[in-house]
Amino acid sequence: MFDWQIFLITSIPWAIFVGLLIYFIKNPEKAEKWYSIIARGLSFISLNWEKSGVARDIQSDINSFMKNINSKTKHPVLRYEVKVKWISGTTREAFVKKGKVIVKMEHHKNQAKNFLYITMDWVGKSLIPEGRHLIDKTILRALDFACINKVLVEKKRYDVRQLFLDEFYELEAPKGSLLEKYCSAFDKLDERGLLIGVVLPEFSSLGRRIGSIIPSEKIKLETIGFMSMLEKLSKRMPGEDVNPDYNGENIKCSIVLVARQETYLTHGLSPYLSHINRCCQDGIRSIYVCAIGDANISLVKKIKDSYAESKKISVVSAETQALDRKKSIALHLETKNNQSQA
Amino acid sequence: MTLNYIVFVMSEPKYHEIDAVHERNLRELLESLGLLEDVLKGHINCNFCKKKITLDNLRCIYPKNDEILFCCDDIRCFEQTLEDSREVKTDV
Repeated sequence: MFDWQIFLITSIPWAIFVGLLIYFIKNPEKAEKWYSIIARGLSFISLNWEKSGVARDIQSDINSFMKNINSKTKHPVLRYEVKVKWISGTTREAFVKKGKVIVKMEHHKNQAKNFLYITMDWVGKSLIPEGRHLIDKTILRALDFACINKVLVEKKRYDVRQLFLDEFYELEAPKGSLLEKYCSAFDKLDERGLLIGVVLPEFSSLGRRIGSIIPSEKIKLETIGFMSMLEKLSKRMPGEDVNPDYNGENIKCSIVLVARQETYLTHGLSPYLSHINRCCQDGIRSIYVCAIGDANISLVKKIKDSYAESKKISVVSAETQALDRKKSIALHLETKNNQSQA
Repeated sequence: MTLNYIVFVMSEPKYHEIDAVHERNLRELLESLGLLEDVLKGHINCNFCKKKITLDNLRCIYPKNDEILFCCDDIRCFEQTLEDSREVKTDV
Protein backbone atom coordinates (compact mmCIF):
# COMPACT_ATOMS: atom_id res chain seq x y z
CA MET A 1 0.00 0.00 0.00
CA PHE A 2 1.20 3.54 -0.78
CA ASP A 3 2.59 5.15 2.37
CA TRP A 4 1.79 8.87 2.34
CA GLN A 5 3.84 9.55 5.44
CA ILE A 6 7.05 8.23 3.89
CA PHE A 7 6.27 10.01 0.63
CA LEU A 8 5.82 13.35 2.42
CA ILE A 9 8.93 12.94 4.57
CA THR A 10 11.09 12.12 1.56
CA SER A 11 9.60 14.68 -0.83
CA ILE A 12 9.53 17.77 1.42
CA PRO A 13 13.34 18.26 1.42
CA TRP A 14 13.34 17.86 -2.37
CA ALA A 15 10.52 20.37 -2.72
CA ILE A 16 12.43 22.86 -0.56
CA PHE A 17 15.59 22.22 -2.57
CA VAL A 18 13.81 22.73 -5.92
CA GLY A 19 12.04 25.83 -4.57
CA LEU A 20 15.35 27.34 -3.43
CA LEU A 21 16.99 26.42 -6.73
CA ILE A 22 14.26 28.21 -8.72
CA TYR A 23 14.48 31.22 -6.39
CA PHE A 24 18.26 31.48 -6.78
CA ILE A 25 18.10 31.01 -10.57
CA LYS A 26 15.59 33.87 -10.72
CA ASN A 27 17.60 36.02 -8.28
CA PRO A 28 21.30 35.22 -8.84
CA GLU A 29 22.41 38.17 -6.71
CA LYS A 30 20.65 36.63 -3.69
CA ALA A 31 22.52 33.37 -4.28
CA GLU A 32 25.71 35.42 -4.52
CA LYS A 33 24.91 37.13 -1.20
CA TRP A 34 24.45 33.80 0.56
CA TYR A 35 27.60 32.47 -1.07
CA SER A 36 29.52 35.52 0.18
CA ILE A 37 28.30 34.96 3.75
CA ILE A 38 29.39 31.31 3.63
CA ALA A 39 32.71 32.23 2.00
CA ARG A 40 33.47 34.84 4.67
CA GLY A 41 32.73 32.21 7.31
CA LEU A 42 35.23 29.87 5.65
CA SER A 43 37.81 32.56 4.94
CA PHE A 44 40.14 31.17 7.63
CA ILE A 45 40.57 27.99 5.52
CA SER A 46 42.13 29.58 2.44
CA LEU A 47 42.73 32.85 0.63
CA ASN A 48 40.35 31.77 -2.17
CA TRP A 49 37.40 31.70 0.24
CA GLU A 50 38.46 35.07 1.63
CA LYS A 51 38.61 36.59 -1.88
CA SER A 52 35.25 35.08 -2.81
CA GLY A 53 33.72 36.52 0.34
CA VAL A 54 35.08 40.01 -0.36
CA ALA A 55 34.16 40.10 -4.07
CA ARG A 56 30.74 38.46 -3.94
CA ASP A 57 29.56 40.57 -1.03
CA ILE A 58 30.18 43.71 -3.11
CA GLN A 59 28.93 42.23 -6.39
CA SER A 60 25.66 40.98 -4.89
CA ASP A 61 24.79 44.34 -3.31
CA ILE A 62 25.68 46.45 -6.33
CA ASN A 63 24.08 44.11 -8.87
CA SER A 64 20.85 43.78 -6.91
CA PHE A 65 20.71 47.59 -6.56
CA MET A 66 21.18 47.89 -10.31
CA LYS A 67 18.43 45.38 -11.00
CA ASN A 68 16.08 47.19 -8.65
CA ILE A 69 16.68 50.64 -10.22
CA ASN A 70 16.45 49.32 -13.78
CA SER A 71 13.14 47.63 -12.97
CA LYS A 72 11.69 51.11 -12.38
CA THR A 73 12.70 52.58 -15.74
CA LYS A 74 11.79 51.52 -19.25
CA HIS A 75 15.38 51.58 -20.51
CA PRO A 76 18.19 50.61 -18.11
CA VAL A 77 19.92 53.64 -16.58
CA LEU A 78 22.61 51.53 -14.90
CA ARG A 79 24.12 49.52 -17.69
CA TYR A 80 26.82 47.17 -16.45
CA GLU A 81 26.94 44.66 -13.65
CA VAL A 82 30.08 44.79 -11.58
CA LYS A 83 32.54 41.91 -11.54
CA VAL A 84 35.71 41.79 -9.47
CA LYS A 85 38.56 40.02 -11.23
CA TRP A 86 41.40 38.97 -8.98
CA ILE A 87 44.95 39.54 -10.19
CA SER A 88 47.89 38.16 -8.28
CA GLY A 89 50.66 38.46 -10.82
CA THR A 90 51.29 39.83 -14.30
CA THR A 91 54.12 41.14 -16.40
CA ARG A 92 54.95 44.80 -16.85
CA GLU A 93 54.27 44.59 -20.61
CA ALA A 94 50.89 42.91 -20.16
CA PHE A 95 49.86 45.40 -17.46
CA VAL A 96 50.82 48.44 -19.56
CA LYS A 97 49.10 46.99 -22.63
CA LYS A 98 45.89 46.26 -20.74
CA GLY A 99 45.83 49.83 -19.40
CA LYS A 100 43.57 49.09 -16.44
CA VAL A 101 43.67 50.20 -12.83
CA ILE A 102 44.35 47.46 -10.25
CA VAL A 103 42.66 48.26 -6.93
CA LYS A 104 44.01 46.85 -3.69
CA MET A 105 41.27 45.19 -1.66
CA GLU A 106 41.58 44.72 2.06
CA HIS A 107 40.58 41.81 4.31
CA HIS A 108 36.80 41.37 4.59
CA LYS A 109 36.90 42.89 8.08
CA ASN A 110 37.77 46.22 6.40
CA GLN A 111 35.07 45.83 3.76
CA ALA A 112 33.82 49.45 4.07
CA LYS A 113 36.72 50.88 2.08
CA ASN A 114 36.60 48.05 -0.45
CA PHE A 115 32.92 48.68 -1.04
CA LEU A 116 33.31 52.44 -1.46
CA TYR A 117 36.18 52.19 -3.97
CA ILE A 118 34.37 49.63 -6.09
CA THR A 119 31.09 51.58 -5.98
CA MET A 120 32.81 54.81 -7.05
CA ASP A 121 34.49 53.09 -9.97
CA TRP A 122 31.32 51.24 -11.00
CA VAL A 123 29.00 54.29 -10.88
CA GLY A 124 31.40 56.28 -13.06
CA LYS A 125 31.22 53.59 -15.72
CA SER A 126 27.71 52.22 -15.42
CA LEU A 127 25.44 55.22 -14.85
CA ILE A 128 23.93 56.34 -18.20
CA PRO A 129 27.12 55.65 -20.21
CA GLU A 130 25.33 56.61 -23.42
CA GLY A 131 24.79 60.19 -22.25
CA ARG A 132 27.58 61.04 -19.79
CA HIS A 133 29.66 62.97 -22.29
CA LEU A 134 26.73 65.28 -23.10
CA ILE A 135 26.08 66.37 -19.51
CA ASP A 136 27.75 69.32 -17.80
CA LYS A 137 30.61 68.08 -15.55
CA THR A 138 29.23 69.43 -12.27
CA ILE A 139 25.77 68.00 -12.94
CA LEU A 140 27.31 64.66 -13.85
CA ARG A 141 29.34 64.62 -10.66
CA ALA A 142 26.23 65.42 -8.62
CA LEU A 143 24.39 62.59 -10.40
CA ASP A 144 27.24 60.18 -9.56
CA PHE A 145 27.20 61.30 -5.91
CA ALA A 146 23.42 60.90 -5.73
CA CYS A 147 23.74 57.39 -7.15
CA ILE A 148 26.60 56.40 -4.80
CA ASN A 149 24.60 57.72 -1.86
CA LYS A 150 21.54 55.79 -3.00
CA VAL A 151 23.46 52.50 -3.24
CA LEU A 152 24.87 52.97 0.26
CA VAL A 153 21.51 53.91 1.80
CA GLU A 154 19.51 51.19 0.05
CA LYS A 155 22.03 48.52 0.93
CA LYS A 156 22.24 49.82 4.52
CA ARG A 157 26.00 50.32 4.24
CA TYR A 158 25.98 53.09 6.83
CA ASP A 159 29.65 52.71 7.74
CA VAL A 160 30.63 53.15 4.08
CA ARG A 161 28.26 56.11 3.76
CA GLN A 162 29.88 57.84 6.72
CA LEU A 163 33.28 57.27 5.13
CA PHE A 164 32.00 58.66 1.82
CA LEU A 165 30.50 61.76 3.47
CA ASP A 166 33.41 62.51 5.80
CA GLU A 167 36.37 61.75 3.61
CA PHE A 168 35.02 62.71 0.22
CA TYR A 169 31.67 64.42 -0.19
CA GLU A 170 32.11 67.17 2.40
CA LEU A 171 35.54 68.09 1.02
CA GLU A 172 34.45 67.90 -2.61
CA ALA A 173 31.11 69.67 -2.21
CA PRO A 174 31.52 72.33 0.48
CA LYS A 175 28.45 74.20 1.66
CA GLY A 176 27.32 76.84 -0.81
CA SER A 177 29.16 75.30 -3.77
CA LEU A 178 27.37 74.61 -7.04
CA LEU A 179 28.02 70.89 -6.62
CA GLU A 180 26.40 70.93 -3.18
CA LYS A 181 23.41 72.83 -4.62
CA TYR A 182 22.93 70.21 -7.35
CA CYS A 183 23.42 67.30 -4.92
CA SER A 184 20.85 68.76 -2.57
CA ALA A 185 18.42 69.21 -5.49
CA PHE A 186 18.85 65.57 -6.54
CA ASP A 187 18.37 64.49 -2.93
CA LYS A 188 15.06 66.36 -2.70
CA LEU A 189 13.94 65.09 -6.10
CA ASP A 190 14.78 61.56 -5.00
CA GLU A 191 12.58 61.96 -1.93
CA ARG A 192 9.69 62.51 -4.35
CA GLY A 193 10.70 59.67 -6.65
CA LEU A 194 11.74 62.08 -9.42
CA LEU A 195 15.42 61.12 -9.63
CA ILE A 196 14.63 57.60 -10.84
CA GLY A 197 11.29 58.54 -12.38
CA VAL A 198 12.33 61.61 -14.38
CA VAL A 199 15.95 62.81 -14.18
CA LEU A 200 17.83 59.61 -15.04
CA PRO A 201 15.37 58.49 -17.79
CA GLU A 202 15.53 61.95 -19.36
CA PHE A 203 19.34 62.08 -19.44
CA SER A 204 19.40 58.49 -20.66
CA SER A 205 16.93 59.38 -23.42
CA LEU A 206 19.15 62.32 -24.41
CA GLY A 207 22.08 59.91 -24.75
CA ARG A 208 20.08 57.41 -26.78
CA ARG A 209 18.88 60.11 -29.18
CA ILE A 210 22.03 62.16 -29.74
CA GLY A 211 24.76 60.19 -27.94
CA SER A 212 26.62 59.51 -31.18
CA ILE A 213 27.24 63.17 -32.03
CA ILE A 214 30.30 65.08 -30.83
CA PRO A 215 29.22 66.91 -27.66
CA SER A 216 29.14 70.69 -27.93
CA GLU A 217 29.06 73.46 -25.36
CA LYS A 218 25.50 74.19 -26.50
CA ILE A 219 24.25 70.78 -25.36
CA LYS A 220 26.03 71.13 -22.01
CA LEU A 221 24.42 74.56 -21.55
CA GLU A 222 21.09 72.94 -22.26
CA THR A 223 21.68 70.38 -19.50
CA ILE A 224 22.48 73.31 -17.16
CA GLY A 225 19.20 74.99 -18.14
CA PHE A 226 17.29 71.77 -17.53
CA MET A 227 19.06 71.34 -14.18
CA SER A 228 18.11 74.87 -13.18
CA MET A 229 14.43 74.01 -13.79
CA LEU A 230 14.84 70.79 -11.76
CA GLU A 231 16.48 72.70 -8.94
CA LYS A 232 13.59 75.18 -8.74
CA LEU A 233 11.16 72.28 -8.78
CA SER A 234 13.04 70.55 -5.96
CA LYS A 235 12.66 73.63 -3.75
CA ARG A 236 9.04 74.24 -4.66
CA MET A 237 6.74 74.77 -1.67
CA PRO A 238 3.10 73.60 -1.74
CA GLY A 239 0.98 76.13 -3.64
CA GLU A 240 4.03 77.81 -5.22
CA ASP A 241 4.05 78.09 -9.02
CA VAL A 242 7.18 76.90 -10.80
CA ASN A 243 7.36 76.60 -14.57
CA PRO A 244 7.61 72.81 -15.03
CA ASP A 245 8.60 72.96 -18.71
CA TYR A 246 12.01 72.95 -20.34
CA ASN A 247 11.79 73.39 -24.08
CA GLY A 248 15.32 73.37 -25.46
CA GLU A 249 16.68 72.10 -28.75
CA ASN A 250 17.40 68.59 -27.47
CA ILE A 251 15.74 68.42 -24.07
CA LYS A 252 12.01 69.05 -24.39
CA CYS A 253 10.50 68.02 -21.13
CA SER A 254 7.62 68.87 -18.85
CA ILE A 255 6.98 67.58 -15.32
CA VAL A 256 3.39 67.57 -14.11
CA LEU A 257 3.05 67.11 -10.35
CA VAL A 258 -0.29 65.72 -9.25
CA ALA A 259 -0.43 66.75 -5.62
CA ARG A 260 -3.75 68.39 -4.86
CA GLN A 261 -6.87 66.27 -4.62
CA GLU A 262 -9.02 69.43 -4.51
CA THR A 263 -7.94 70.31 -8.07
CA TYR A 264 -9.38 66.99 -9.23
CA LEU A 265 -12.50 67.33 -7.08
CA THR A 266 -13.24 70.82 -8.48
CA HIS A 267 -12.15 70.50 -12.11
CA GLY A 268 -11.70 66.79 -12.76
CA LEU A 269 -8.75 65.73 -14.94
CA SER A 270 -9.11 68.68 -17.34
CA PRO A 271 -6.33 70.92 -15.85
CA TYR A 272 -3.83 68.06 -16.24
CA LEU A 273 -5.06 66.98 -19.67
CA SER A 274 -5.10 70.52 -21.02
CA HIS A 275 -1.51 71.06 -19.77
CA ILE A 276 -0.41 67.83 -21.47
CA ASN A 277 -2.19 68.77 -24.70
CA ARG A 278 -0.59 72.24 -24.61
CA CYS A 279 2.83 70.60 -24.16
CA CYS A 280 2.08 68.53 -27.24
CA GLN A 281 1.31 71.68 -29.25
CA ASP A 282 4.45 73.43 -27.95
CA GLY A 283 6.65 70.59 -29.20
CA ILE A 284 7.55 69.15 -25.80
CA ARG A 285 8.80 65.59 -26.31
CA SER A 286 8.63 63.97 -22.86
CA ILE A 287 5.91 64.61 -20.32
CA TYR A 288 6.29 63.08 -16.87
CA VAL A 289 3.21 62.98 -14.66
CA CYS A 290 4.31 62.31 -11.09
CA ALA A 291 2.52 61.77 -7.82
CA ILE A 292 2.98 60.48 -4.28
CA GLY A 293 0.36 58.61 -2.25
CA ASP A 294 -2.39 56.20 -3.24
CA ALA A 295 -5.08 58.82 -4.01
CA ASN A 296 -2.79 60.81 -6.31
CA ILE A 297 -1.43 57.63 -7.91
CA SER A 298 -4.97 56.61 -8.88
CA LEU A 299 -5.38 60.02 -10.56
CA VAL A 300 -2.20 59.45 -12.56
CA LYS A 301 -3.54 56.05 -13.64
CA LYS A 302 -6.72 57.79 -14.87
CA ILE A 303 -4.57 60.23 -16.85
CA LYS A 304 -2.69 57.26 -18.31
CA ASP A 305 -5.97 55.63 -19.35
CA SER A 306 -7.03 58.87 -21.07
CA TYR A 307 -4.09 58.49 -23.49
CA ALA A 308 -4.42 54.74 -24.07
CA GLU A 309 -5.70 55.27 -27.60
CA SER A 310 -4.33 58.72 -28.35
CA LYS A 311 -2.85 59.34 -31.78
CA LYS A 312 -0.69 62.22 -30.56
CA ILE A 313 0.66 60.91 -27.27
CA SER A 314 1.96 57.49 -26.33
CA VAL A 315 2.50 55.98 -22.89
CA VAL A 316 6.18 55.05 -22.51
CA SER A 317 6.04 53.74 -18.96
CA ALA A 318 4.20 54.07 -15.68
CA GLU A 319 6.46 52.85 -12.92
CA THR A 320 5.78 52.97 -9.21
CA GLN A 321 8.46 53.19 -6.54
CA ALA A 322 8.38 52.62 -2.81
CA LEU A 323 9.65 55.75 -1.05
CA ASP A 324 10.30 56.06 2.69
CA ARG A 325 6.69 55.73 3.82
CA LYS A 326 4.64 56.11 0.66
CA LYS A 327 4.55 54.99 -2.92
CA SER A 328 5.19 57.26 -5.88
CA ILE A 329 4.49 56.99 -9.58
CA ALA A 330 6.08 58.52 -12.67
CA LEU A 331 3.99 58.26 -15.81
CA HIS A 332 6.14 58.93 -18.85
CA LEU A 333 4.28 60.16 -21.93
CA GLU A 334 5.87 60.96 -25.26
CA THR A 335 4.44 63.04 -28.08
CA LYS A 336 4.30 60.98 -31.25
CA ASN A 337 5.46 63.67 -33.72
CA ASN A 338 8.68 63.99 -31.71
CA GLN A 339 9.12 60.22 -31.50
CA SER A 340 9.29 59.96 -35.26
CA GLN A 341 11.80 62.84 -35.41
CA ALA A 342 13.98 61.02 -32.86
CA MET B 1 16.09 55.18 -32.67
CA THR B 2 14.85 51.75 -31.60
CA LEU B 3 17.12 49.88 -34.02
CA ASN B 4 20.13 52.00 -33.02
CA TYR B 5 19.34 51.34 -29.39
CA ILE B 6 19.08 47.58 -29.88
CA VAL B 7 22.41 47.55 -31.74
CA PHE B 8 23.98 49.67 -28.97
CA VAL B 9 22.70 47.39 -26.19
CA MET B 10 23.70 44.18 -27.98
CA SER B 11 27.17 45.36 -28.90
CA GLU B 12 28.22 46.62 -25.47
CA PRO B 13 29.73 44.46 -22.72
CA LYS B 14 27.44 43.31 -19.93
CA TYR B 15 29.97 43.64 -17.13
CA HIS B 16 32.21 46.34 -15.81
CA GLU B 17 35.16 44.24 -14.74
CA ILE B 18 37.29 45.68 -11.97
CA ASP B 19 40.80 44.30 -11.60
CA ALA B 20 41.68 43.83 -7.96
CA VAL B 21 44.50 42.48 -5.89
CA HIS B 22 43.95 41.17 -2.39
CA GLU B 23 46.27 42.71 0.20
CA ARG B 24 47.73 39.26 0.84
CA ASN B 25 48.72 39.00 -2.85
CA LEU B 26 50.11 42.52 -3.08
CA ARG B 27 53.78 41.62 -2.60
CA GLU B 28 53.44 38.91 -5.26
CA LEU B 29 51.90 41.36 -7.74
CA LEU B 30 54.51 44.06 -7.14
CA GLU B 31 57.26 41.46 -7.45
CA SER B 32 55.88 40.34 -10.82
CA LEU B 33 55.96 43.96 -11.98
CA GLY B 34 59.49 44.40 -10.61
CA LEU B 35 58.40 47.16 -8.24
CA LEU B 36 58.37 45.51 -4.82
CA GLU B 37 61.82 46.68 -3.85
CA ASP B 38 61.10 50.26 -4.87
CA VAL B 39 57.99 50.29 -2.70
CA LEU B 40 59.77 48.71 0.27
CA LYS B 41 62.63 51.21 -0.01
CA GLY B 42 60.17 54.11 -0.13
CA HIS B 43 61.16 55.23 -3.61
CA ILE B 44 57.60 55.58 -4.86
CA ASN B 45 55.16 58.43 -4.26
CA CYS B 46 51.44 58.86 -4.84
CA ASN B 47 50.92 60.34 -8.30
CA PHE B 48 48.58 63.00 -6.89
CA CYS B 49 49.38 63.99 -3.30
CA LYS B 50 53.04 62.83 -3.52
CA LYS B 51 52.76 60.94 -0.23
CA LYS B 52 55.30 58.12 0.12
CA ILE B 53 53.69 54.81 -0.94
CA THR B 54 53.95 51.85 1.43
CA LEU B 55 52.36 48.39 1.30
CA ASP B 56 49.77 49.65 3.81
CA ASN B 57 48.69 52.89 2.18
CA LEU B 58 48.85 51.73 -1.45
CA ARG B 59 45.33 51.77 -2.93
CA CYS B 60 45.84 51.22 -6.65
CA ILE B 61 48.31 51.02 -9.48
CA TYR B 62 47.71 51.91 -13.12
CA PRO B 63 49.70 52.35 -16.29
CA LYS B 64 49.97 55.60 -18.22
CA ASN B 65 52.24 56.32 -21.17
CA ASP B 66 54.34 53.19 -20.54
CA GLU B 67 54.84 54.20 -16.92
CA ILE B 68 53.36 52.50 -13.87
CA LEU B 69 51.79 54.97 -11.47
CA PHE B 70 50.67 54.58 -7.88
CA CYS B 71 47.87 56.06 -5.83
CA CYS B 72 47.56 56.20 -2.04
CA ASP B 73 44.46 55.38 0.01
CA ASP B 74 43.13 58.94 0.11
CA ILE B 75 39.70 58.75 -1.58
CA ARG B 76 40.31 62.00 -3.48
CA CYS B 77 43.50 60.58 -4.97
CA PHE B 78 41.58 57.44 -5.94
CA GLU B 79 38.90 59.55 -7.63
CA GLN B 80 41.59 61.39 -9.58
CA THR B 81 43.09 58.05 -10.59
CA LEU B 82 39.74 56.95 -12.00
CA GLU B 83 39.48 60.18 -14.02
CA ASP B 84 43.09 59.92 -15.13
CA SER B 85 42.68 56.30 -16.23
CA ARG B 86 39.47 57.16 -18.16
CA GLU B 87 41.43 59.87 -20.01
CA VAL B 88 44.09 57.32 -20.93
CA LYS B 89 41.42 55.06 -22.41
CA THR B 90 39.96 57.95 -24.45
CA ASP B 91 43.43 58.86 -25.72
CA VAL B 92 43.85 55.31 -26.99
